[in-house]
Amino acid sequence: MPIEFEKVSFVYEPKSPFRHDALRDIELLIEEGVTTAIVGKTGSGKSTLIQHMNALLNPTSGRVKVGDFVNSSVKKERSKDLFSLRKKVGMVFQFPEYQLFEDTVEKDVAFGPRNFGASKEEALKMAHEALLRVGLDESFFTRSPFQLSGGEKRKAAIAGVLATKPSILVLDEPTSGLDPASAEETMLLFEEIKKEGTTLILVTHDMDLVLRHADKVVVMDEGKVVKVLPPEELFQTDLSDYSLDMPKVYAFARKLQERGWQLDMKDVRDVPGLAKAIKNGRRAS
Amino acid sequence: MSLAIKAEHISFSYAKDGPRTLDDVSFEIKEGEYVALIGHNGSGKSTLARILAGLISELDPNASLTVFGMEYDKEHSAEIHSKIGLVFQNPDNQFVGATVRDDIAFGLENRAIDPSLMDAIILESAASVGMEEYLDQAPENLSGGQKQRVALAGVLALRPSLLILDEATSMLDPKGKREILALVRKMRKENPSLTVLSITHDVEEAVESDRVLVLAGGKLILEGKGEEVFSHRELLEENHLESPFVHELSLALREEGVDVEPTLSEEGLLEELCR
Repeated sequence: MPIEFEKVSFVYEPKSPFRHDALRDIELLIEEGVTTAIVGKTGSGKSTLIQHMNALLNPTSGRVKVGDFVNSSVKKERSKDLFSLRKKVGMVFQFPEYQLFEDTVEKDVAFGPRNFGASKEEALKMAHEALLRVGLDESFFTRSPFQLSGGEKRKAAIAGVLATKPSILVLDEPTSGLDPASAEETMLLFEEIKKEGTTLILVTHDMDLVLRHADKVVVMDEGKVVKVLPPEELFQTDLSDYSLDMPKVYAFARKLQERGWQLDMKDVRDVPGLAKAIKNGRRAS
Repeated sequence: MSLAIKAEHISFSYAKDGPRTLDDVSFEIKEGEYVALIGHNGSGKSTLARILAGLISELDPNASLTVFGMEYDKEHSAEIHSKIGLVFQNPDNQFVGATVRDDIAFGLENRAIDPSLMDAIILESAASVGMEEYLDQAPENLSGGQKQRVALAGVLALRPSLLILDEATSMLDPKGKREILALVRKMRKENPSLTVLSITHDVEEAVESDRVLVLAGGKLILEGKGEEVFSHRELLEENHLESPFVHELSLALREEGVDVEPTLSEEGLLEELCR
């Protein structure tokens, strides 16, 4: 299911002195099956953009199409079936563990399916499946979410979104606050879910994550989409205008290049890849 | 040099007879030291922070905890608390005032600071984190990084001797992270006796600290200078932790047959490669 933004603008508090143009004339196609990263500094419009994808916000002008669902500035054009849209577009917000609220883990995860009309039994079954999927076994089902560690809470919160089996998954800083191994584990889980046909949209400041997982990067600045390109092309350009960091491998490679090294960075996505590129690289003498 | 923290045999379980979140943890932190505490999710890091903050006081009977030479008991807890400043992870959860000024004043009012001195203290601490222009702003107009700076200002206003950062930068964007770490560096420069305990997942920050403590499964498994701790790569990996980037790269290069020494120093590795 593709997502299409057609001339979308969004203004917060349009008729007040606090008026803020958060999105300006966005034209953007997010293709099915392509992992798309949305990057840009804080305040560039990333969050506002993703909130249009499941109609948490309606555009001030223009139109967003998610499959055959239409989210438009014109009330008459808007599709009515918000339930099925929100079932299709799952959102894992930043630090989702702060949103756990039920007294047991299974009830918390079952909340989504229940909300979308599943019976109590069905919802629990879906919750159990999702929990096993994220690596929380039966011993966790009836525990209080508040007794879990930070990493376990994160998994429970992700299970809550997976339980409704979304076809698009929007991930807002999915690994922040996780230890390196849990971060890796979490991304592996999402990669698996992607293989089963779910489209991933990644919102992040972590350029290492972008380099390793994204097929395409959307760069935002002051409410506009300023670039759409593959990560390896993005990181060859000057990013300081958008206050984006370089992935660590690129930052190090650049320092070597400044000292006369020639490196082929085409396939470099991680540390072992950079080590190979250095081994095969040359120093101009 | 005197000790800021001396912890001996600290054990703790949340449920009676439940699993031990902390299991016989002992360590010392000297006054003026900057110590990074790293560990996997669920390793007991935050529980240790809560104990040090006095939010958990029922310790195992064998445990002993002294802070600035005082036993951490009912008699001394108020005095110990007056010396500790805490900054937590979530910028929104710890902003209590209606404005930046109110938020910084909250701690001062709690300590019954003379109101005639308050304005000057608030201005000074806001200025030290670069937020003096925002004194009358409400939290919803601030970024996460700015809110964390206000949290730091609120703590600074109370002139703590021990600053505990519990993943204080993990919800911030890269710029916000760098700003907070730069501020902590500046504070230590201005006040060398300030002790900092930073609980973090950021191994690049840990490299900068004087000493690193590593918790895993409630036990202290490693402690020492960065170079020493990160040389135990396998043990760290087993416990869900990684080495800093430069160290990983130097090891990966050796695996590729490139002749470099394992190192934590970026400058060192660049020089070796360009020799």
